[in-house]
Amino acid sequence: MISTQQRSLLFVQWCLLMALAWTSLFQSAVAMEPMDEEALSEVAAQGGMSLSGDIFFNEQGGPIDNASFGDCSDNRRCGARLASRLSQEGGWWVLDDFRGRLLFDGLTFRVRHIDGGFAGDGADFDGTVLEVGLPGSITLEEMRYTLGTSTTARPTDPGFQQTDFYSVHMEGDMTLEGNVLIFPTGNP
Amino acid sequence: MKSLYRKNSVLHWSVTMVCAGIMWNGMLLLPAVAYGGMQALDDSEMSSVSGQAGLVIESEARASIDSLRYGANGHGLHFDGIELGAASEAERPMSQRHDISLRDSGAMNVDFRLRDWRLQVDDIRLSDRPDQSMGALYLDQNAASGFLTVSPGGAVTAEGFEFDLFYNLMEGRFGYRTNDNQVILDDMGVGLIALGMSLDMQDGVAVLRMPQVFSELRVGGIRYGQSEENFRGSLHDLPSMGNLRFNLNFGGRMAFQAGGRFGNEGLRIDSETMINTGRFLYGTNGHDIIMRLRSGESHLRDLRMDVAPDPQGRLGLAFTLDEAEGEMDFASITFGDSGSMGELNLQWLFADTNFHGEGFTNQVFLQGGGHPATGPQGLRLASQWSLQEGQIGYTTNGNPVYITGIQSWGKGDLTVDVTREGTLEGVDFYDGLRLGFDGLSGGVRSDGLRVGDEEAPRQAGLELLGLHPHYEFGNLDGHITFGPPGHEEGDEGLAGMTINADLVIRDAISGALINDQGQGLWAADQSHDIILRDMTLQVTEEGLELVMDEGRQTLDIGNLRLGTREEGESFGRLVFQSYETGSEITIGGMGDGSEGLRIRRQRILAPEVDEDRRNRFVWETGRERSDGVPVNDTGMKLVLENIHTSDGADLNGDGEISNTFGLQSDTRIDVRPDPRRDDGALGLGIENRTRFRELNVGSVDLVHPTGGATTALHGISLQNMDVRSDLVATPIR
Repeated sequence: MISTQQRSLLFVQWCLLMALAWTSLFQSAVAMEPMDEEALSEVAAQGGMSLSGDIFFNEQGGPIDNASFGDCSDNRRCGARLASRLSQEGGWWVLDDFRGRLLFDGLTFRVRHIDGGFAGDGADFDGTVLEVGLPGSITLEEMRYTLGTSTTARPTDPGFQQTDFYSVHMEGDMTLEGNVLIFPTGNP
Repeated sequence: MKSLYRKNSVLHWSVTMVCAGIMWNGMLLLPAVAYGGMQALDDSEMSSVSGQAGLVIESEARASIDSLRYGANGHGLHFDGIELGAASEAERPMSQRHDISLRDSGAMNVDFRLRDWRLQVDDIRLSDRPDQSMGALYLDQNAASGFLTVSPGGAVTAEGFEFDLFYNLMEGRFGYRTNDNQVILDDMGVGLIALGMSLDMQDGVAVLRMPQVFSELRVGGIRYGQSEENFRGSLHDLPSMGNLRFNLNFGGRMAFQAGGRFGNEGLRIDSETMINTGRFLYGTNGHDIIMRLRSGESHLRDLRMDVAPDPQGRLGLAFTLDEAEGEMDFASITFGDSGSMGELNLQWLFADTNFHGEGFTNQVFLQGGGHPATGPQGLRLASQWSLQEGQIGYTTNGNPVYITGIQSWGKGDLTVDVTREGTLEGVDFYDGLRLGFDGLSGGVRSDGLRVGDEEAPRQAGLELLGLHPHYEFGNLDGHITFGPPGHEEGDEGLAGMTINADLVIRDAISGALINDQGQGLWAADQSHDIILRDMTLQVTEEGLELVMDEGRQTLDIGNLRLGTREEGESFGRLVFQSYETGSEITIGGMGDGSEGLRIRRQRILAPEVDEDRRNRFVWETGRERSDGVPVNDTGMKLVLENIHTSDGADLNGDGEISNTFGLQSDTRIDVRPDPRRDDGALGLGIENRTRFRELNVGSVDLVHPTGGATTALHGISLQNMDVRSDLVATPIR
């Protein structure tokens, strides 16, 4: 049995590996841009879109009804569960009992060409980007999840044992200002 | 009329055919056929004539003609094996009665009644390919009656005619046969009331005016059968692909004149049609798709009919068009009993246009043969189309959204065959009416969405529905075959269709989020293979339901890039491979009294069987280039292997983990105000709920082109998910 400390270390390593895999493989760049730079860029707003709305995760539980998953009214877990493992015979990292509600207004998507602004960097860049305009604030309601490790992917599998590291409960407004610019940089 | 006929033989033929087409009763058709120089064989006629209030002709007649040739500009169209006789039995005469009377006004009235009547044509061939035929046709009128009243004096000339027509057909049948397989419009009914029609000759142009026409077409069952002989008698033991009913109340004007596009001989038609009301219905098992037409209009300018070679030199019956402009306004569209999906407005202008430096026009050349492997009979349509400008308006609960600036272009061959299951010359065929695509290329593009009114700012949003404002394909081959239902045990007696399809698309490109400078996210160098097996189509209480036995797709996007259609920086190559079994989709209304579109899907992603049957995702970057073109499988790849859904338990008791729940989504689409905006701006509303018990990934591999694969994750399992989103898409402020 590995200790909780070792597990935590493994989790951090897993996160780093995933981040490395995504950034190196996709060979694309993601940059945060301050809001006030927007006025300096040449923008073609038409053709893009602004999204507003709510997203609910397992508002009244999920589709599984068994000894482990239920409808949030008893001690069974009603959120979603993500399990993954790094080795063939190893245990599973789980993000468990994930549920809650997100509300946002003005998440925008558009493609634009940047050839100015950004304190002079825009002219050097002279390229096309996919711009995701952040909505300013996102309201979180009853957002919860639990992180842990498990012997099996399913809580109903034989020999199932799970150790929960910690649980998170988020409530309130989260400020997300600026734009995310996504553009390719490598060899296709 | 005689002087008119002498003036131009082609015009005479045309006017005769138009009259025959409008009236298509045996009385008028026989003289028309006789004038065409055909030889009547085996005629037997018994007539009795009585002359009290007029003339009564009762006849039982049978006629056959070996070949009828229509010639134009040195080319010929042959109608071979024409036979007029009884519908119920071969080599028996049909029965008809005509009561002819003259009125004091000088008008002539003909009451007619037809019983047990069939006209059939065994082959339609073109003179350059006598070995190929467009197929065989037959039309039955088992109980037809009506009257025709002809009065001297047209609408604008004294030499013209005015006429009223009433025609009612019951127990009719229309069959189309190729290579011993048939599609039949069975239990067919036609109703036609056309009052105050007139025919005038004006400056060499025959003008047919139709102030008001009430028309109806009913088809009790669309059936499929296999027989080398045309079917006779009851066909209720053949499964039905559904029933049809069209009503149209319209008025209009048609002008006919001589002169082809490719020579002196040919026919030119110009028409204007105003539609007052209409209804189109397709139903199965007591549930219907109904489109109610509120109004419409259609203008055809310079439509020509010739027998002429197509651009590849193949002779065809050519229909070429200068312009077609029109609009149709549907007050409601209803699928099943789920309520109205909203209002639909369609506008179009088909005209010659230049796309990407190439001129496109609107034309179709009808040719014989169909798919070369099916046999000598079949239909080939060498086509070209050019939609210069179109618009789609969709309104829910009084709130409209428009797709404006639609353009479409393309060219290539379509084939139409009635086929049967089997493999011929290495090609798989299925029971049913096969619509084939042979070397088709084309595209469609639009401005995108405008919500609220036609001048509103352009915005994206089609992308959220999986549609693209710009799509082009360099080559499309394959087929969609619409077959009879009843493949599964216990399905006997159920109406509906079974659809099989194999589509191979190459050199395609699609664009999303396209701005005013033409910059967007482009999925270029696309190859797309689609295979559908035994997908049933039915109209149910909840809407149009499609259930597929097996569906496979491979979408290979060679370059996902940012920039213009022509160039841009690439994110790399993406490959989506899917393998579904037992997936369903239901399209209908909201079902709660409000207007909108509701799409329910259940996708069963099956576990991997082999390389052709699996769900897989590949992202490849850093490819080597050959002549400047990236070469696939030479870069670094991230591969998600064996993606599949699962119930996570044995729910059907067969001892194994079952896969019956799949990926279920319920999407509601309408146009509504964004509740978070103070100005009450309208947006495209998309409410979606997606649920699944398990979505599993077998492994996540990193694949080096020479070093091989390394597994990064030995499995991902996402369980018990229920995501509901309620989004409104508006223009960017």
